[in-house]
Amino acid sequence: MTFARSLNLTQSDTALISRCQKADIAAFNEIVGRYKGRIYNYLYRMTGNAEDAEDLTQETFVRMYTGIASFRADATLSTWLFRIAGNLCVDSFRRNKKARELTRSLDAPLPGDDENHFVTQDIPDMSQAPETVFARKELAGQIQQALQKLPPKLRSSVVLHDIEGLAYEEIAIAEGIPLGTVKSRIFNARVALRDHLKPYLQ
Amino acid sequence: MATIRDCKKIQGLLSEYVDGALPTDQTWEVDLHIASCAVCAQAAQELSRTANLLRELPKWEPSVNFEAILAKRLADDALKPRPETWFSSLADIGGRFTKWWTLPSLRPALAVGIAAVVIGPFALILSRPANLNVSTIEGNRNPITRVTPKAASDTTSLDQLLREHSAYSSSETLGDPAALVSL
Repeated sequence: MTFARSLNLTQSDTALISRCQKADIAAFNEIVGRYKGRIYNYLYRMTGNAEDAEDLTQETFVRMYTGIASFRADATLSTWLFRIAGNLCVDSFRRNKKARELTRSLDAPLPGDDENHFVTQDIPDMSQAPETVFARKELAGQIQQALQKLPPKLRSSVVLHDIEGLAYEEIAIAEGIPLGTVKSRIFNARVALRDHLKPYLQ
Repeated sequence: MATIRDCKKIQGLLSEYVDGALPTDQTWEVDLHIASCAVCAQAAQELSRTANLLRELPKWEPSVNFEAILAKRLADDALKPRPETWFSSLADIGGRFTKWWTLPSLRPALAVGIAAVVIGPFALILSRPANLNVSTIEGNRNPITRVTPKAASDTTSLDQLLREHSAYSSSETLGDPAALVSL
């Protein structure tokens, strides 16, 4: 039994998808267990909100379950899941756009929010408060705030690359964009993040 | 000595450079440039540190009852009515028809209906009046088929027509040239 279980744990994504397409619930659960953390973490970094991230992660797996029959081998399971999650995120941002405009905060992008020309509000210069600069939690909060200020397209590419560890080619497949666009988005995102996080880069 | 133009070109490559994703010749080009350009060297260092800050962020995990909530959500989703599409509507109509016509109580009525539809046209053809005389005008490249009522050549019908004509003529004297001559 233990041996069989260990075999299941090491089963490839392709085998799991194949089993899942035959309505094998155990295979579906295995996929959820394998990817829920990465999808949740991506969505948390995208939304900046635990509740939204949880809800969208749930929805990602519901979409995966209902659409497993249409899965094609031109993508890996991870790129497919990130694509579903990304699309759900875009839908969610569209739905919340009005509300975000009304309650603009430090976290919300400003008008004229496109991926090449964007401006953001200033964050307080934390170098003036040295006792908090090196606090890891505080730093993580500042990075999240800086991420939230990026246009969603740039944010998605840089999160997938630098946080989730996807290669440029995988991001191109997951986001359905050319490789050159992926590279320029990551470059622009890093430059913007560098400008916001300068006090922490010393 | 590095120029501003060189710096612009090199800085465009720095993000891939810090990822180690550049081809060998371009990597060598950047290496060579940043060895002599403090500005670009600092830019490369900052981009590298920015990427490292992101990589070192703590990983977040979903709630402990994630699977339980997902299972409930999937069950609810399975019970949810599907959105209407033209295809589903068509399938629905088909399904309803199938249900309806298989009802035992309606089978005799349906049989009569189908019989009427199938036999009806034949019955109509057979009961059609057989008094049409079909003649064909020859001498034309495309023969014209003319249909004349057979009744017109029938003697009884001709007598009837003549009777009607004389009755009309007698009532309308001025309209009948024969009557004018007789006056």
